[in-house]
Formats: sequence, C-alpha cells, structure tokens
Amino acid sequence: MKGADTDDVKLELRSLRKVFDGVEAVKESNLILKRGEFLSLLGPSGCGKSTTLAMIAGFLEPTSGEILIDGKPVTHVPVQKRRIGLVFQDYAIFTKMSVRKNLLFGLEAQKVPRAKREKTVDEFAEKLDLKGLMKARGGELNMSEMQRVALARVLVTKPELLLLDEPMSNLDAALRASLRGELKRIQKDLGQTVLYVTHDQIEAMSMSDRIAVMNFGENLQVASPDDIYHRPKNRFVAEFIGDPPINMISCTVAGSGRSLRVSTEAHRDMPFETTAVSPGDYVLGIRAHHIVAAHEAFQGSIAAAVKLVENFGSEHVLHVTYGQDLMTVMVQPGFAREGDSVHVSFDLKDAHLVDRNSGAIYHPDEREAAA
Amino acid sequence: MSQLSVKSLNVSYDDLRALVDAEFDVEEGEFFCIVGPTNAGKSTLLKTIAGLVHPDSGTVNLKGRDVTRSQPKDRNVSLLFQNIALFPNLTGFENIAFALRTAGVAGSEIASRVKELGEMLKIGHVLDRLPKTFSGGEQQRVAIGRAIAKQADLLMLDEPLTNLDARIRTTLRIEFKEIHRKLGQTVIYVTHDQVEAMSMSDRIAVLHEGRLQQIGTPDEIYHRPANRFVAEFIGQPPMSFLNAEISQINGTMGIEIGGIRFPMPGIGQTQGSATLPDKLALGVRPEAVRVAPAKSPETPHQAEIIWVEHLGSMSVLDLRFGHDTLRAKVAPNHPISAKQTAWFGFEPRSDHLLNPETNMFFR
Repeated sequence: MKGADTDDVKLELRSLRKVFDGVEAVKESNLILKRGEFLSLLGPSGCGKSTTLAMIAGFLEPTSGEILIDGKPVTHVPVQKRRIGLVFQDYAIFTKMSVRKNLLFGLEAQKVPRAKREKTVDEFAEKLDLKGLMKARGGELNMSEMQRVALARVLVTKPELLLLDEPMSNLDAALRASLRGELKRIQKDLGQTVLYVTHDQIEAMSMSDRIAVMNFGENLQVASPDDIYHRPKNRFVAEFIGDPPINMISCTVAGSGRSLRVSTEAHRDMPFETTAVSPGDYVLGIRAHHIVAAHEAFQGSIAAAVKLVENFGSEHVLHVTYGQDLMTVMVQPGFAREGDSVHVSFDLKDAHLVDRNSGAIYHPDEREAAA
Repeated sequence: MSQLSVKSLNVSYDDLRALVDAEFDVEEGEFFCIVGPTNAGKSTLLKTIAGLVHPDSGTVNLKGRDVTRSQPKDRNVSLLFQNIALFPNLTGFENIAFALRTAGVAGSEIASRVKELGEMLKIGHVLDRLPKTFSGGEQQRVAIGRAIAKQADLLMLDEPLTNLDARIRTTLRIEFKEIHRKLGQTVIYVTHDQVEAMSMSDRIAVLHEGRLQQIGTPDEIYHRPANRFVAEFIGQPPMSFLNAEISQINGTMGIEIGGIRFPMPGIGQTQGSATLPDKLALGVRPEAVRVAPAKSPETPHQAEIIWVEHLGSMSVLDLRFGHDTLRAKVAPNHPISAKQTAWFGFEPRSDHLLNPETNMFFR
C-alpha cells in the first residue's frame, strides 16, 4: 500500500483462516481496509465472504491468524467490545417502536447523555432523509424504508467499522439501484469505513473503492473496480465480473520471439507482439461490448449467424456463432434479428489471454510494458 | 383461441384490492412476463390462474374452457415457486419423473423424457443424486425440469431465479429462453427484475398496486411506456424526468427546461397545443444524453456533474439541470469520469412528454 502509514489502516487481516470439519472456508486471508474506505468482498455462495465477515464481527473464532482494528489485535476481544456496526440481509429493527426510538436505542445502550442522543438522532435523520418517517412505527415501513432505518440505527452509534452482509438482497431490483447511490453518498459524507459483502457485482462495482473477489475461501484479486473489470488477474475474476459474461474462446499462440500470431477457429493469424507469452494453447477472453459488428463484411471480419437476441432496452445482446462456439455481441437496439447474418471482429488490444492450466491472464497493459 | 384468457379479474383480501380488473390473453407458445415491484399483485394473479386463489369476480379461460371454478388439479397448469420444494428423499431423476408417474406415463417414455430434459438443463450428472447434494443452481434446474416435464397447457414460474446468485441468474436466464424456444410451451413468468422481463419475454405485462399498467412487447414497453411508473420501472438506470414549460416563439412550439429552450416544432400538431398544459415533464432515457468535456453542436449546454457511478461496461453520470437531475449513460472510457463541469445535449422526444398531474404521457 503506497503511502499508507499505520494511522490510515482501520482493519487488518493477517493470515486469517477458518476451517470447518476439514474444509478450509477461508484460506490465509490478508487484507487491509483503510480509514474511510469502502471495500467489498465479492463472490458466489460459499466463497467464504460471510465467514470472513463473521470472524471480523467476532461471531466466529478464527482457526488461525489475526484481526487488528486501529492496529490493536481484537481476535479474542468479545463482539460487544469491538465497536463494530452490523447490518444483515434481514432488517433488524423494532417493529413496535417508532423510527425515532429505533434510532435512539443504540445510543441509550451506549449510555450517551440524553441531550446528545436527541441531537445525534436529529442530525442523522436529516442526513439519511428520514425526517418524514421519524414518528412511524417500524412495522409500518416498506422494505426499502426498513433497510434505511436499520442502516441509520447502526450509523448513529458511529461504529469504528461498519459491516454489511448482503443488505440489499431482499429488495426489489429497482429499490436496490436507488439505495446503492444513497448508501455510497452517506458513506462518503460520513467518512464511514465499510466492509460490504455481496454476490452482486453491480453493487460491488458501483459503491466500492476496492473489491476483493473471493472464490473457494481465497482472495483472488484485491483492486479498484476499474482494475477488476479491465485488468482481471485470472479467469475466475474475468468470468465473474461483467454482464453479459465475458466470451471465452479457444485459441492458439504461434511464432517465436516477439512476433507471435494468435489464431481462433474463425480468425487466423492475428499478429501480436509480446515477450510475456510463450506459444501454446490459450483461451481468449473478450467482452461483448468490445466486439465490432456490421451488416457488411469489413477488413478482418467473419460472418456470424444470430441465434438469439436479448433485449435490454437501451442495447441488445446478440448470441452469434463463432466457429464452433457462441459469442455474445453488444449492439444498438434493432441492429439485427434472430436468423440474420452479421459480420464480426475485435481488436486484440481489448482481449485477455488466459493460460489454460493456471487461469492466469495476460493483459494488454502487461503486453505493452513487455514490448 | 388463446391459450389463456383472463377477463375482468378482481381479487381482494379483506379491504385490500390485490387485483383490479385484470384482463389479458396469452397466445399458444408465448413467453409472457408479469413484472412489478413487491406487493404489486403478481403472485395473486398467478395463484388465481392456477386455482389456488378464488377471484371475487371475473373469469379464467384455458384453451377456451372456463376454469374459474375448477380445482387446481383439473386445470393442467404447472406452477413453480421461488422457494424450491424438491422431494428430499427422491433422486434428481425421480423428482423430475414425479408428475409423469402420477399421470401414468409408461416407464420407458419417462426414462427418455427425463434424460432429454437432463441434457437440456445440464443436470445429467445429478440425476442419480439426492437434492441435499445439489448446489442452488442445480436445485433450481431440477425444479424447472420437474415443472416442464408435466407438459402442462400453461407453465407458470414465480420468481424462479430470485434466490440465486447474480451470476447463475444470468446463465439460467439465457438457457431457459433457449429451452422455451425448443419446447414451445406457453409460459407465464413472474419477476420483479426488469432485466429478466425485457430479455426473455415475447410480451410483458407491467403490474403495479393490483392494476395492469401496460401490456406490450419489450420494445413497446421500453420505448413507448404508457405512464411514469412504467417508464421508471423499466430500464436501468431509469428514465429521468425534467420539469418543463411550453414555450412558443414566433409561432414555433418548444419547451423550456432550466432556462434552456428546446424547439419541438412537431408538438403543436401531434398533441394539439390546446390540450398541452403550460407545465409538463419530459422523460429522457440516459442513453439519449450526450456528454462531453467541451461545447459542440451535439453538446451545447453546460451542467455540473454531481454524481458518477462506474459499472464496468458503462458509467452513469448525474447532471444538475434546472431543478432536476438528468442521468446520462456513457462508455466506461468516457473523458468525464468525476464530478466536474461538463457539456451536454439531447433530442427531446415528443412521445416522452408527460402530464405531471396524471403521470400519463401525451400521445
């Protein structure tokens, strides 16, 4: 971490491990969360993200490794002494209490003096746009309001660290989209340090300063959303991020020295200069919006039959034949229909070369740097 | 004759009107989607068609037969719920074969049909195993297989992908559409996810507060939404709405937003200027807004970018425009990637002029 002195570090995981019945749910996790940072743990069900969170919160004892908050080990500190705020998928609010009482609750438990409690709650009601709801009872709220109140209840206590575990999973897609922006705004405004657990790449991409992509208990890549999307380090990250999923096409790399040629079944001998890759069999990863499609043949294009069209309103995704495989291509609405023939090509600079065995990815940047 | 015909269907729970005058037809082989937020009445509608809920009034016709008063088992419909209920003590094979066995289909035919479905749904490897060993995606594939195997006149799915991880949802969405195409079964698909509705359906019915807002093809729903609710619910990021005033200069019609005039010579004729109120709203789709760091004929107006959301394949910019926020969708490598002053432009569409009193578009 460049320029990060220890004052900047809010949370540090050192070789954190959790084994359940011989299964390594979390493998040697090393992670640093900076003060005021929004970091997401992103991965499929069972990847170890919630287990990691539960260890940080203090609900689970790690098998080995250390957790440090503000530079102090808390691995064996009980839950209530860690000053951590938690919000889960299921909203924990008191349905019989007014929203105001819900917000006051945590401050009362912390024995904050009365006048200060009231002032803090007013302040947060304003910031979180809850003023109109303060008198409503918890049970009268809709799901999105409930989750905002659940979040506010935790935020008023000014936790050192806020842990959010899939807080939007129970919400409708449309509500999720609006809450995303709201949560990010509040987090930035308050400078709150957040660790966010999700399987939804859109949530992770849109809100995080950095994302840790996890699979089988392992942090596969920890980087900015931009790097995760454009410079994935391995095949799992490349395939997990992006919608529609990245196209993966078999290819071979031939030639010697710097002058190599990449061939797919449909495109032969695309020139390619690098020293980072040795000849052999690879997989070529390319995203749907990087494929160029036209109605007429053009330099380097090949003909492709449109098998399926997915309508997303502002764009369509064509599923077209490419050699023996199918490939997705993002186009303007109305560009082609099922059964049409189109012509497609792509620029190798937008592609990722994936090692068949290790899954490691060679990127355009690295290739340029090597050249 | 339609496969399904629903006429003036009303359902209420105590004093809550869950469904109000629902009316639509679904044609044979169609993929028909019912989309709406939680509590819109989607599941009530599905259950009423299946016979699990009795309507206060109205009729349900299946292949021309009035089944409004028929028992669920006499309707030949297949219904799959969000929460998967597989028989835990039966293998994947027997789960799929269940309905076929009860229908008395011959053993050899069951074997070949289950095998075929197993291949189509990519669950050949779990057919011999018990459900407790299945992943979430495999469970849902087996459940879909069981629902399809019955070869019902109508296959109804209630949020079948909602409980799955985002990545598996994307894959199953496409696979399910391909399977539907192969089998040609009539499908009613319920979801709150507009992406599923848009990308899978032949037609979409948008439901809100128990009332059908609009029924149409995905293109009709997206490009010519009937009202503000549909316009904001379908499409992500949603359509922006800008407060506008009618302005007429030297006989040329136009609208004014935040001190900027947009000539719209067509609106006097198509909408009839007499019927247009002074104050209205203009809907703008985010992909229709062009943004640039410098002034150009395409981007003649200046605005502050107040929020930026990076989503990988695109970025969303929020522009402060007048008293409103105008959302723009741009490519990920767009020169504007942070809060700053920028230039923008768009072509107002006359069919996206909205009456703010009624929230209906002027057409």
